[in-house]
Amino acid sequence: MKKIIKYVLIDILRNKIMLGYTLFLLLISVSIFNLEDNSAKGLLSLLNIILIIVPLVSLLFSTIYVYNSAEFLELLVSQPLKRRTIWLSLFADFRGAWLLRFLSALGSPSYYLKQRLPVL
Amino acid sequence: MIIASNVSKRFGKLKVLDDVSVTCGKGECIALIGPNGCGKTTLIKSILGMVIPDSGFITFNGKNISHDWQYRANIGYMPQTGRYPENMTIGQVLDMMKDIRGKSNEKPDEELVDRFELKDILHKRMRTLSGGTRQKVSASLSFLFNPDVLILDEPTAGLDPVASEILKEKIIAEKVKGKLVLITSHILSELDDLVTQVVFMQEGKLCFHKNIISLREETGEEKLSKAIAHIMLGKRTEK
Repeated sequence: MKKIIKYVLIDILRNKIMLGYTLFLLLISVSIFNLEDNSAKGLLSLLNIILIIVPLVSLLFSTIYVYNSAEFLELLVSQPLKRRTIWLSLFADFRGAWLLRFLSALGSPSYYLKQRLPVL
Repeated sequence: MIIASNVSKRFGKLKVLDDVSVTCGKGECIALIGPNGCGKTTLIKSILGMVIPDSGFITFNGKNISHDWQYRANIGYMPQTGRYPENMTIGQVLDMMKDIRGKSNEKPDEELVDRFELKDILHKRMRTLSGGTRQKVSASLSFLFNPDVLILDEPTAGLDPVASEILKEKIIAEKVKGKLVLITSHILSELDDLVTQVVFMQEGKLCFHKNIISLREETGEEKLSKAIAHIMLGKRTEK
């Protein structure tokens, strides 16, 4: 199980759309913090994005990814693996990848901001 | 080794497999042939446990395969079209399979990887590969772990003449070692020097399962393609 997680995670992280999406999120969060003088307001606008865009994109991307790798999944099913293992490792992959993206794109600017403004 | 008894499967209204019974033993090389959409791939998939038959059962080495997964360690499967995650490299795909299936005490059989010259392009991403190269990867994967049973779904489709010759040599070598090889193909001339038995399917039904020698004798044709044509034409005139 660990092995599937490792290799598929590398594949997902290298995906160009995912990279673009991370850059987009990073751009948005940095610009929001720079445009608003009140950082509490900035955080609120960021919250809107987190609540709407992030789940939507993760749902879409995961669906497309599973759909596209149908034949690869077929190959995995023909190996001595339980289906439960295959799906659980894919789930872990998506979870890991999205968490990593989220923290790097939205977490790091917020952390930077926190250091700049000790009030937060 | 593999015994399928009265296997039936329907997809909606379409009856894909209709009461199919086959027995496959060790050291045999069986050609599964028949027109498009006659249920060859479905039969293979039900042997692999990807399709669950509506009725009937399949045993592998005497054990029923339903709800079992460990038996697949003895099967090497080469799918009709191999598509892999786009950003994985060939080396990563090979390593992943070795991690999943490799036994520590056995060295994987990398003969095909060497002979297909995949070693030089291990760093290439799967998305940049041509269809033929992907087929080479699939073929190498299926032979990698020395399985007792090899299931090849259209193995030579998309391979260049040199590569398909290498693959054929490998199949013959494995057959001599006493492994069971199941091949589906539409290029009958390629099967001539490979197979020992022929299973012919039509519209989900098993028409016949014969030894190739007796098939040649019955039809009086030396070539498999002509023998099959002979039988198909004979069937048509009967109707």
